[in-house]
Amino acid sequence: MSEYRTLDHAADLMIEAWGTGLEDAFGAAATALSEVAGTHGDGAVKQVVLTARSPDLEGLLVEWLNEIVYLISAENAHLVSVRVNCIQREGQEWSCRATLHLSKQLFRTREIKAVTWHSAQVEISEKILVRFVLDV
Amino acid sequence: MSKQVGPLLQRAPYQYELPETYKKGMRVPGILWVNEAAARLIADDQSLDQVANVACLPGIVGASHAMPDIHAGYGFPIGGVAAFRTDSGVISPGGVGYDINCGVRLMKTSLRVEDVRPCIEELTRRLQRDVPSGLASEGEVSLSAADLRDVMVQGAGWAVNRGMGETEDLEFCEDRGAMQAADPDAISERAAKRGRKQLGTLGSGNHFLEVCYVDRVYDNGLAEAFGLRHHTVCVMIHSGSRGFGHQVCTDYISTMLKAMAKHGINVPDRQLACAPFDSDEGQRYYSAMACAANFAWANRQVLAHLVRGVMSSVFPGITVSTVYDVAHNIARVEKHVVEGRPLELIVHRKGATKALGPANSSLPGAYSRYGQPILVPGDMGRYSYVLAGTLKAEEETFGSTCHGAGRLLSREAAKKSVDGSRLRAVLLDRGIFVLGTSNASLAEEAPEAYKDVSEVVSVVVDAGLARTVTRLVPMGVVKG
Repeated sequence: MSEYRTLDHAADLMIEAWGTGLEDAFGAAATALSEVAGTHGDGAVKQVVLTARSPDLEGLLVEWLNEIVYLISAENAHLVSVRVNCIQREGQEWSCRATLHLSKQLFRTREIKAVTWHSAQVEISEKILVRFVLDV
Repeated sequence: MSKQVGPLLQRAPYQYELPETYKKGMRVPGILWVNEAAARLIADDQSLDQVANVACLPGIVGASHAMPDIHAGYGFPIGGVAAFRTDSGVISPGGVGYDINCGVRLMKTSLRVEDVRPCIEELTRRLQRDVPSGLASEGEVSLSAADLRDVMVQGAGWAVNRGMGETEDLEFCEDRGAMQAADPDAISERAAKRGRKQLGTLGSGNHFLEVCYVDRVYDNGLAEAFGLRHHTVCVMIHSGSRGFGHQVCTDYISTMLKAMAKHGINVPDRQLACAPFDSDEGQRYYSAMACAANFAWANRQVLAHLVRGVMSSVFPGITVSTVYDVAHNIARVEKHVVEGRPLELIVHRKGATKALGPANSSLPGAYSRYGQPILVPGDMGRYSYVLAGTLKAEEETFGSTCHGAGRLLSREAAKKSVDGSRLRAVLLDRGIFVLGTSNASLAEEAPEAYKDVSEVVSVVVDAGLARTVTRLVPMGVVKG
């Protein structure tokens, strides 16, 4: 079952994703991004380890997801699976380490220009909710 | 007597002020160029807060302006105009947006509507076939790393020098199709990689190619000066800097966010991340933005060349010449008179068009008596407008006016309420042949998703920010 939903935004698209921990929620956000882009892939699958960093969690969310946007739009990758291994604070920064499985992208159905900083949220309660606006 | 609409105070028939008391931190008021109906809608809208947020940025001069096509964006509102002193103000990548130098080129042909009407379907299909559009499209222009650096510096001239266009095209581009501030060393490897294969591609979303004709002339003198006679067939191109510009913006918002503490800057929305214009970060962004702007001008030049190829193959012997090419997402150093004093400003236009009045030295010689052509696309089912800039716009809005119709429905709402295939049939019944990459993308761009551009235009004209020249009606549309 999808751990995200799309929300209306005047000009673009907002996504809300969730999980029981930060790692699950950030993973669900990446999956949401890939599914909203509508990528389809084929061929050999390669494993990529990716790290994003930012001084705070909202910034980490945007930096992490813009790494995914780059993979989809510049590397023409299709996200087969994603596992966020660890989100932790290291000194002055938060880091997000993830293992991605990528294949060659055959096509996609939506262009995503970027994940914006506007309204990026990480809400920590019984479950973790993340929200972000895409420029599409 | 001034009328109050929510927090807005009417100052003139089409001018509503958002006072500095609306939000803590506002350094100047907001000014919304709208009619009363729009003011009532906006009074409860997120875009009003975005006008206020822009007014909080350091070094802002005069007011945070919003054009009548205003709608909520992220950071700046779409339709926002803000000018900052170059010696003490900031530059903000979010104030330009991800699609740097998204803009419009209008070309006029020697054809009349009756020449094109019988073969509009074939012509539109040929345009869709020969002009790369849609998702992940790659251009036919293969760029080496060195070529890409030349594109970043030379802009549209790069394409013209390689036989893709005519020298006269450059005369009718803002900045002659290249900003001088470009420095390829300010560009990341990632941005270069995202852009290398995309020169000469239309893209997707709201980007389009449109074959249209002049159905109404409002000012014979101006229309004659711009070469737009009744029933002249034109082609309009709407595209920008593609992935190259998207990545430049992404890169520099991160850079600015890291630098803000050092410069003692706080912003109410991180999408407004900025740095002093005269700082290292500010100057590097301006140089990188100019590279992306030049990429966009080169892109529209290549697209224009491809369009000419199609038009000439379907109608041998015709002429296709550039009326004008405008940017509507950009920041530029400009000189303006503020409170009687000339000031050098960095003017941000996010979904707004430059609107220079007659006799401005930046205009091409052929237009200097008339004012700048302003290209205002509407939607694929109704019409678009060509306007001319005024001296009042130079005095009131840093020489700026609207850029389009402005969205009325979100993309998701449009998809829920419009069936793309049915839309195509309805438009065909009205003589408009539309091709898109998918029914869903057509639905997102349906006419009902946009405000009526004629209402937007009537506000800027009645407010004195532009003069109406001609109205254009679509015949064939290729949506990206």
